[in-house]
Amino acid sequence: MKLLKTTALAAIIAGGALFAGAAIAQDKTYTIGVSVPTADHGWTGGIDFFAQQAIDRLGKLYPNVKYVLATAPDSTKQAADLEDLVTTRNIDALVILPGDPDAMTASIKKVKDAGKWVTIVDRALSQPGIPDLYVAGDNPGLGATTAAYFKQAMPNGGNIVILRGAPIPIDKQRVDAFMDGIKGTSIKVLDSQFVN
Amino acid sequence: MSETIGTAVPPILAANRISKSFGDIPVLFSIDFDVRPGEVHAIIGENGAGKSTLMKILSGFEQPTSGTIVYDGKQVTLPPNGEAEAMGIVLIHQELNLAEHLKVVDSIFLGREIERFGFMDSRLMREQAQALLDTLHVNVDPAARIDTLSVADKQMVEIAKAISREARVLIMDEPTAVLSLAETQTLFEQIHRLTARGVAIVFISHKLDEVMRIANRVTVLRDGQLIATVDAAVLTPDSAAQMMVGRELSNLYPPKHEPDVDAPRVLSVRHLGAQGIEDISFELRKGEILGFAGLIGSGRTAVAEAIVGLTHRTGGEIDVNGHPAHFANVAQSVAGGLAYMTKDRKGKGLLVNMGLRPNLTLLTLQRHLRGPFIDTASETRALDRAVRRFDIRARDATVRVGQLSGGNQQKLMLGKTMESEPGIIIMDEPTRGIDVGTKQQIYHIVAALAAEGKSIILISSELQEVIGLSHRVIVMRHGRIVGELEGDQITEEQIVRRQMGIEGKAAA
Amino acid sequence: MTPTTEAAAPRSRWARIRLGALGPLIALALLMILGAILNDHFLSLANLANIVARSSFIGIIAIGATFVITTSGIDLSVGSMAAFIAGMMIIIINSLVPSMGSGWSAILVGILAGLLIGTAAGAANGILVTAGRIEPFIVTLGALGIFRALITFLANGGTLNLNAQASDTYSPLYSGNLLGIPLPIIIFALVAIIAEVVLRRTTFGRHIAAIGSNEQVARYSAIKVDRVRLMTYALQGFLVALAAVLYVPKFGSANSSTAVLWELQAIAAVIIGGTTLRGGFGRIWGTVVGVVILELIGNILNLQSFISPYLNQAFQGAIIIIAVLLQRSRKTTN
Repeated sequence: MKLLKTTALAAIIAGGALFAGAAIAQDKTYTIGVSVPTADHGWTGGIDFFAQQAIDRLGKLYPNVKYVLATAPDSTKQAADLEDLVTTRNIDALVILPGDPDAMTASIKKVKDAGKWVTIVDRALSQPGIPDLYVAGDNPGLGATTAAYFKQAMPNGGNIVILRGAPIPIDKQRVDAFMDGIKGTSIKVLDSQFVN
Repeated sequence: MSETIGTAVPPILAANRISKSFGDIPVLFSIDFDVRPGEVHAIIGENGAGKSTLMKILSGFEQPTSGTIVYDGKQVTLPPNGEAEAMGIVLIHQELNLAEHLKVVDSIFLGREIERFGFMDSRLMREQAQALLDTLHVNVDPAARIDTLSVADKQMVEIAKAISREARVLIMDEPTAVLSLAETQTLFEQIHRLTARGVAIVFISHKLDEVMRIANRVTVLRDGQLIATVDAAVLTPDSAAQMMVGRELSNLYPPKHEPDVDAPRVLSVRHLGAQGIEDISFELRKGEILGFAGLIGSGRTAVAEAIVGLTHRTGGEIDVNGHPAHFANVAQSVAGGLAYMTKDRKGKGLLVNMGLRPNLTLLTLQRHLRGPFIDTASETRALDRAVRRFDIRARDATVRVGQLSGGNQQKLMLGKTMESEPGIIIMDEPTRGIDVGTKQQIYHIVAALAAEGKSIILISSELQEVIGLSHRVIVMRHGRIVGELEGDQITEEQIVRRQMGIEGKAAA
Repeated sequence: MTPTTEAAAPRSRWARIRLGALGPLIALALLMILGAILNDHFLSLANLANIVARSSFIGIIAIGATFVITTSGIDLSVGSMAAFIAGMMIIIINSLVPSMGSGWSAILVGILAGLLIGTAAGAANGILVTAGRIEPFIVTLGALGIFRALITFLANGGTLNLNAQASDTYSPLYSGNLLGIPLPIIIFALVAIIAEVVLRRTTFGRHIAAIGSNEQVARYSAIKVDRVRLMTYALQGFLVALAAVLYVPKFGSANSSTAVLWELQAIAAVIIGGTTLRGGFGRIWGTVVGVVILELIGNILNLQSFISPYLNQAFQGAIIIIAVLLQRSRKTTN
C-alpha cells in the first residue's frame, strides 16, 4: 500500500512543514512529537520506516525543529507516550497515527486542550473536531472504486465474501461506501467478517 | 555380632582434628574419627551434637574449618556436592535422595547411563540393575517406579545405587528411622554382606539397641565434642545414654499413674470404618494413655485420621464425653476438644519455611486477635510460654522451623497441638528420629499431661515406648484390632505375637 | 547447642534478609536517578504523577495477583477479564443513559455492575480450581480465551464506545484529583495499604501464606483450604473490576485488543516485587514497586532519542530477569 505510506510521509511533512514554516520565522526551537503504532506487520512497518525517513530529512531542512518518535504496541502504551511527550519532551505539536482511535480519543483531546497543534493520520477519532489537521486516504473513494470494479467484473451478479480489516472507523467508511456501490446489483454478500 | 576388626587394618577414611564453624558459631571441636574397611562404625549423640555436620564433612558436602581428611592413606580435600561419590564415599540421606518419577533402573544409573551409539542401552542397564538387586537379595522390580516402592525398598535402591558406584565408604543417616522390625533385619543382613566385601560403613542412629547389635565401634558426640570412641561390646544402653546426655538417665520412662477405675469415658469408638480399616471399637478414659501398637501399615494412622475428620468415614459412631460426634473436618474436631499430632512433622505438621511463632499459632489464631488484626505481641507471649513449657531450643527467634533439630521440631509441634487446649490428644510416632535426651523430655511431658487429666492415644512403632508409657495397649494388624492388653499383660512378647498374628484373637 | 555465641548470629542474618527485601527499592532508586539525568522534566510532579496514575491499572490487578500467587495459585485470565468487564460496563451505562440521563446515577450503576461481574467471574475461576480440582493454570487459561471471545462477541468484532456525554461525566474519575493528588493514585494507594494490612495482620492473610507454603500442613491445621483459595480468586476478580472502573473513564472504549497481555505484566510485577511464584510468601509493597518499575522503563525510554523505542520490551524482560536473579542470590546465601 504505497499509497498509504506516501500518505504517512505526506502527513509528517505537511504537519511538520505547516508548523515548522511558522517556526522558522520565529527563530525558536520547536519540538514535534510523532506517535505511531509498533511495526507488527508490513504496513505499520512501512509507516515507521518512512516516518523515520521524513524525520531525518525534515530535521536537516528545518534546523530549529526537533522531532521525537514514539512507537506503541497498544493503546495503553500510546496514551502513556502522549502523556510523556507533553510532560517530559515539551512538544509543541503532535503528529499521531492512533492504533485504536476510539480508545485514543480522550488522550488526544487532552493534548489538544493543552494547546498543542494536532495532526491525525489515517484513522479518524470517534469524536469530530479535535485535530487541527487530518490526513488520510480517501476511504469512501476506496470503497466506491472497489464497488465499481466488482460491478464491471461481475455484470450478472454472483456471490462474494468480505474480509474486513481492523474494527476501526476507516474500515467502516470503506465497507459502507462499497456496500452503497453494489446496491441494486445482484451481487450477493455471503458473509462479512473482521479478520484483522 | 560385635566382633572387633583387627587394629592392624588401617582405616580407609579418617578425620583428624576436624573443627567446623558456621560463621561465628562453632559446631565441631577437634573431632578425631576413622573407619576401617569392613567395619560398621556407629555415631550416636543428641540432636544438635554435630553428627550431621560430621557426616557432611566426611562425604564432602561441607568443608572443615580446620583439620584434615585422610582417604586411602592420602590427605585429600573432598569435592563438594556429592562429587565425592566418584571417589567411593557415598552418603545416604535420611530423606532419601531419589527422584520419585523415575524407574528403579533409571535411578541406579542416573548420571552414569550406559550408551550405545549415542542412545541409552536400556536392556543392558536393566540386566545389570537386576543382577545388582539379586546380589543384594533385594526383591524389587527394576522397572518399577520409585514412588510405588515402600520406604524400606527405596532405601534398598539407594544402597544398590551406592554399590553400583563401587562405594568403599557408605555413610547412612538414620536408615532405620522409618523401618519396621523385619525391614531393619533385612537392612542389617545387607550391611553384613557389604562389610564382608570390605565396604566401610558409618552408621548414625538413635536406636541404641540396634547400634549395639550391628556396630563394631561406637563414637559418642555431645555438643560438638568427641566424648568417646569405644568397642560396641563394652557399651550398654545406660552408659551410652549417659555419655550422650551427660547425666544420669535412670528414669527414661516416668512412673505410671493409673487413672481412676471410675474415670469417665472421654472417647468411645464403635465399629469405625474407613479406607484401610474395619470395625474399630475401643474406649478411652480420662487421664489414660492408650497405646496403639502394630506393624507399619496396620492402619493406626488411618484410625486417627478418620476420628479427627481428615479422611472420610465409611461407618461407625464416635462419642466424645458421652455425646455423639461427627467431625467432618479438622476444625470441627479441634472445636470438639480433640487434637491429632501427625507423624510427618515436616510434611504435614509444620511449615518449614516459616518461623516458630506463625507455626505455633496456626491452629489457634482466633485467640490472638485484636479486632480483625493479629496481635503479634500476644503470639510472642504464647511462643515464650511454649518454649518454656516444652524446652524448645532455637538459635534465635528468627530461625525457620526447617533449621531446628528434629527434637525441637517435635516439641514445637507438641506446643502447637497443645495451644488449642485439647482434652484428647492423638500422638502419632511422637519420638521418631529423636535423640534419647529429648525422648525423655517428651515422655515426661506425656505422663504429666495424663496426670493433669488429659487423655492420650499414643501410636508408636517403638515397642519399648509403648510398653513404658501406656496404661493399656491396643494392637492392630491389617486394619483391624487384634488385641487389647492391660497391666501385666503389656510385654514385648505379647504385643509382637499379636502384631504378627501368631496369637489367637484376644477378646476385643 | 551451646548458647554462648548467639549474639553475633542474629545481626548478620538480619542484614542478609533486609538486603533481599531492598532489591526492588534499589532498582527503583537507580531508575529514578537515570531518569533525572536524562531529562530535566523527569522529576516534575506532572511526570511522576502520570507514571503512578498509569500504573494503577496493572497495579491494582497485580495486588490481587499477589494474593493468588501467595497461595501458590495463578490467574492468567485477568487481562481478558478486564476487557470483558469494561465492555459490560460500557454496554450497561450506554443502555441506562436514555432512562437515567448521562449523569452519575447511570455511571454508578455501571460501576456497581462491573464490580459484581468481576467478583463473580473470579469466583467462577475459584470454584473450578477448588471444587472442580482443576489446575489453576488450566482453568484461568481457559477463562482467558472465554473472556477474550466474549468481549469480541459483545463488540461484534468492532469497538464498544462509551456514550459521549456519559464519558464527559465519568472521565474526571481518572483525570480528577483530590487535594492535588490524582484520584487513581489515591485509589491505588488505598488498595495497596488495605491489602498489605490484610496479608500481614489478619487470619485470612496468615492462612493464605500457610496454604501456599504447604497445603497439607494447612489442611492438618484445620484451615479451610478450599474456602480461602476461592476467596483469593474472587478478590482478584473484584480488583480486576476496580481496574476496569478506572480504565473506562480514561479510554472510553473496549474491544478485542483491550488489556491484552496485562496478565503477564501483572505477574511480572509481582515477581519483581519479591513474592515467590511457588507461594508461601507475599509482599504487597514489593508488587507496587514492581509495577512502577515496569512503567518507569517505558517512560525513561521516551525521555531520550538514542535508544530505539522498539527495545522497550527487551528492557522490561531484562529487568525482570535481573530482579529475580538478585533475589535468588540473596536467598541462597542465607
